[in-house]
Amino acid sequence: MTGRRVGIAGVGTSQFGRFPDRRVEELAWEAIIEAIDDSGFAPSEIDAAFVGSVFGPPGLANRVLAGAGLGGIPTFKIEAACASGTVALHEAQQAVASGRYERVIAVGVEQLSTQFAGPIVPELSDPEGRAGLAMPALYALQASRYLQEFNVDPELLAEVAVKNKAHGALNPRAHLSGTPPTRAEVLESRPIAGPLTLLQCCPMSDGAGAAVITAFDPSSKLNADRHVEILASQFSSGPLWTSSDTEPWGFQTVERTAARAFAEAGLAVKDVDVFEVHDAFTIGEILTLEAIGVAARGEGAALAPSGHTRLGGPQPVNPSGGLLSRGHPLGSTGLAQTAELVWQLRGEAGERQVNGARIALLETMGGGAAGVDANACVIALLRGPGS
Amino acid sequence: MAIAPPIPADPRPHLADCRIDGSACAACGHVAARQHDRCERCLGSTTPKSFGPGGTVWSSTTVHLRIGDLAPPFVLAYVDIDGGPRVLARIVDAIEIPAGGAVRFVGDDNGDLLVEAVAS
Repeated sequence: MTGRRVGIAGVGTSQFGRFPDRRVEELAWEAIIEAIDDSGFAPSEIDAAFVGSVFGPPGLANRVLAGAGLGGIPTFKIEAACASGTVALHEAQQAVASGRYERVIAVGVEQLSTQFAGPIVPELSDPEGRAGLAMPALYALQASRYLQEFNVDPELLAEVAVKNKAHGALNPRAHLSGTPPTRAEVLESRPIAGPLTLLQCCPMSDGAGAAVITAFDPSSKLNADRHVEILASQFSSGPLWTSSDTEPWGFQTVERTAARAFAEAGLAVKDVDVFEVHDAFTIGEILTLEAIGVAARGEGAALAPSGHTRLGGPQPVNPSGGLLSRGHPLGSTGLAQTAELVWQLRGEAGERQVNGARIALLETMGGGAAGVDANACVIALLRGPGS
Repeated sequence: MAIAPPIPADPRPHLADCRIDGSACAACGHVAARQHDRCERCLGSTTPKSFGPGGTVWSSTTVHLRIGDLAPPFVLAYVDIDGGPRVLARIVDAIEIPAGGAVRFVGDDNGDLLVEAVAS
């Protein structure tokens, strides 16, 4: 870590779900007010804001901040696909580490229900979007290749949904928090893009998240007792993804970002007690865990059924229910993941608590630009208070 | 009555005589599925080059969603053109072809690249 040590002083989220009758700002206010109250700071003590959102609308960041006691501070709006909120967190961390600002709020907000009647409409200015490549199909191309390359049974993909939806059933803020489906129900749900079925795709959700970032001083009792230190934060965008690349799109970017994050923190993957990773589709969690090093190539699909990544297992992944349960309001996801990990590290995660969680890994990878390995990937390593 | 804005310029690769109009970089050897003067990887000088009609499937998926005018089911594939770039194409007759399967370009449908299986 270059510069000052940095920590998370407070977090908050909205409820996640479909809220077309609410103003998009209200979702952000819910998250921001909870985060500021949680931090113990006055809004006047916050110097700057980084706001992640993909579909906007224009002017959203300033309206959000002006309505939450934060008008007049420098405001940066970030679009980095699914990682927009996580890039906001990273930039807030960098801004405090470098001394540019003392206290910064990172916000993520998205209201998909008022943007799309169904799934996200592919972007017509993108060569692959213009040819009809919807997001589920983009991930299905990874999944199809994976199943064939490693001779994996499609039932193992479904196990990721079963696990994360069982976790999500314990999360009162999740969009889908009802009775979790069985493996058969996941496999028999409506086909979307082979081999992915409906219950292997995140729902179209609205929501927001926020985190207050400040310098971390271990000699301060408040910091030591309450704040979560950001031991590492790494951000990469993907290079060209070409016919000479054998790994699926996104893989090398996650792998490179993870290696840098572990090096920065002086930690290894075995040191991580709890993960929140990008599971917009079941294959996403599997490939991410392989790229991070939790499993070797081709062996990530066995992690959920083995119990390794379930609550109660040695390395729980997505105790919040992940994007598959909480939902994936694009810009908000990184901050929702952050909030879950902060609650886990403070021992405040209720029925979802990972006992003794001390080190957490946050990963979000956004893709979708044709010919690019990934739009953006952020991986952060967090350490709980008192540890 | 609102007037719809024009749709964006067509960004898809262009097919002529079942070959992709692309380019190759003289400096780094990178091949691209579009013609441009400077290499997208290193900004070196490029020369026009066409690729195809043969290629190999990297992966394919049957899509069950309606996307614009495209009615389901349809099959999309990443295709590595022989000696050329990787492009997204639609497989005719909605037949999935496993990774490694040989295909060839047969034309386009309103600008979407179409491929079919080549008997091995």
